[in-house]
Amino acid sequence: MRIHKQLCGLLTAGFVLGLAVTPPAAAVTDEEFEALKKAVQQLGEKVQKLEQVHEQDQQVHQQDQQKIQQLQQQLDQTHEIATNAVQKAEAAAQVQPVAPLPPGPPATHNFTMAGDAEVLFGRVSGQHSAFALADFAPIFLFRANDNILFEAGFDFTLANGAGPTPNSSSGTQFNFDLSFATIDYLINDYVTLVAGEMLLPLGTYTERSAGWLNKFPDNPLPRGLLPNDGLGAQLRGAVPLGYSGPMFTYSVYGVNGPSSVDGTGNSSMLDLGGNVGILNNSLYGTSTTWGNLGNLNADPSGGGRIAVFYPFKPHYDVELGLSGQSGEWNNSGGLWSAFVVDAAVHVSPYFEVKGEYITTWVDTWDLGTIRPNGWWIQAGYKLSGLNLDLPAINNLEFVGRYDMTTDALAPKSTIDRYTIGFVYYFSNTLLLEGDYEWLHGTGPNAFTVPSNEILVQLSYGF
Amino acid sequence: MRFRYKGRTITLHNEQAVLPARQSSVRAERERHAMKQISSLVARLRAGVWLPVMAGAIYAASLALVAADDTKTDAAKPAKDPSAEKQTTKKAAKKKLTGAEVYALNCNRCHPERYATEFTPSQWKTIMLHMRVRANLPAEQAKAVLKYLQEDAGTP
Repeated sequence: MRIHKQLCGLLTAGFVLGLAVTPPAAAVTDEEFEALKKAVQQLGEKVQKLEQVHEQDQQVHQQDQQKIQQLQQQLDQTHEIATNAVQKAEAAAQVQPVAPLPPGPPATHNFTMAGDAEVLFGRVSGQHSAFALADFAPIFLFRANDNILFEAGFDFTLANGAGPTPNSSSGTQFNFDLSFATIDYLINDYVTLVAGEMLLPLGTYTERSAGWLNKFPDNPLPRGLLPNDGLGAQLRGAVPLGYSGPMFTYSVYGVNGPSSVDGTGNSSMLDLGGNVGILNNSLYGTSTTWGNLGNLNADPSGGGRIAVFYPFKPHYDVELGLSGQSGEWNNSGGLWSAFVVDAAVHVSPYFEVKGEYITTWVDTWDLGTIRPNGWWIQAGYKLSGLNLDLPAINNLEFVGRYDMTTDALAPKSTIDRYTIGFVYYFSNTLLLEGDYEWLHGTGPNAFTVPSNEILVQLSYGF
Repeated sequence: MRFRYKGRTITLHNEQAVLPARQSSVRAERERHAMKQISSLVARLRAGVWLPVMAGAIYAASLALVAADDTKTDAAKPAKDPSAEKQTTKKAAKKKLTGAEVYALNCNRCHPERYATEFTPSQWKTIMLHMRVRANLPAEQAKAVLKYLQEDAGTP
């Protein structure tokens, strides 16, 4: 509109100017006529340009109008949606009260996974070498609050087997174990209640024997005389002795304990793994009795451990512990008892010695009271203590072990073993363990055939 | 070839399990059962009574220790006398182990060092709860180690 007015103004001004400057025909010279003609032409060009601009402005104006209409429609739609949402929210609020969103991080923030994984290679003198097993042992931790923790350790193992069985394919055997599953309740600073399937504190080996913690690929022989875990409840804790680090630790527990495979008290029927209340072994009954036998123990086994830890300074310390367990193992009151002495000494960050003495008593029908026992000691020295400034050497630790146990298959005979090896630390959690073992049976009825073994294991802790 | 691994025997070659047959008759089993009943009663009493008594005694002792701690805490509150206050603070600082010191004393005994950056503060809280139970760490020491690890913990 504004441009249109300007255009009319210019035309009017041109017309008036033409009238004003136009002299009588006779008085107009050719030069004046030409000048006037030129002025009129220039005015005509300007008018043309202004008309073009005006047309363009009109087009832009139309486009703007269209956009405004579209935006108006969108605004109407948005308004409608918002109105509907408010109406729905009001309707929902009438149906149920709106609960406030729980404050804090997601529910899984207290969940953590730790654990270890191993691959073992073995060779026995006179036999073919083989990759013996692969093991994945995660530990799931869930912290319900500052005082309650749920923890469960699993063990997935794929090993060379003895042929096809119902649960394994030819040549391999898959094992899935629940190593432990407990609810831990920290009652106060000095007492923690642990309930569930527990690692038993008979000595310290079971609680500290994950693949990347143990410096040897296999267990000490006399550990086979003790159960690893048990279903029950435990009270445990520690009391500091002074302020420089010494402490007294204790554990007291009750578990189902070892049991008898078939209910008899014969020595060969001892089942250290115990049961969880029901015997489910198809080998000793008909199909109608599978799983129908109750707990063979009238009472749980009781046990515990007390220990003193005394650090002189970091990496210089002594720990000494006494532990034991006793309880019925068959349905005629026969007792299974164990007593363990454990000790560990660290002298500098590079050298450690530890070991256990284990003795057990078993009331049996066929052999009377027998006393399987044994002991083991192991030492390790990290070559970084030599200050050789060689990276490969500094990551190396030499280890040695001696272990012996009475031979369960041969009375008055023992099995003993010497082991030397190394641990190479690729990192703080990835390590390679290599051992050479000499295994011997001694005594009048020695059953074990002497053998030498090489074991190499890659371990990772996470 | 057999390995002992985590309490299990792993066999690499075919071996036929030998299952021992039952050696006693039912009558003999009954006679033995009767003979064992008296000694079994003693064992039952021992296991049935001993465990609850021990648990009760431990709980009572822990309550006494907690009460003693509370008394100590009250006594350790700043005294009105400035010189006495100074002495108390000095003494407490001398005695109390830092988280780094507790870490150096305890953690490397059983496993290689774990770096603070490997887990987030929340994960360390869960892991330290686990380690406090597993390694039987005193509460105060466990809290000091947790604080030390959380200070340089990894980011979520």
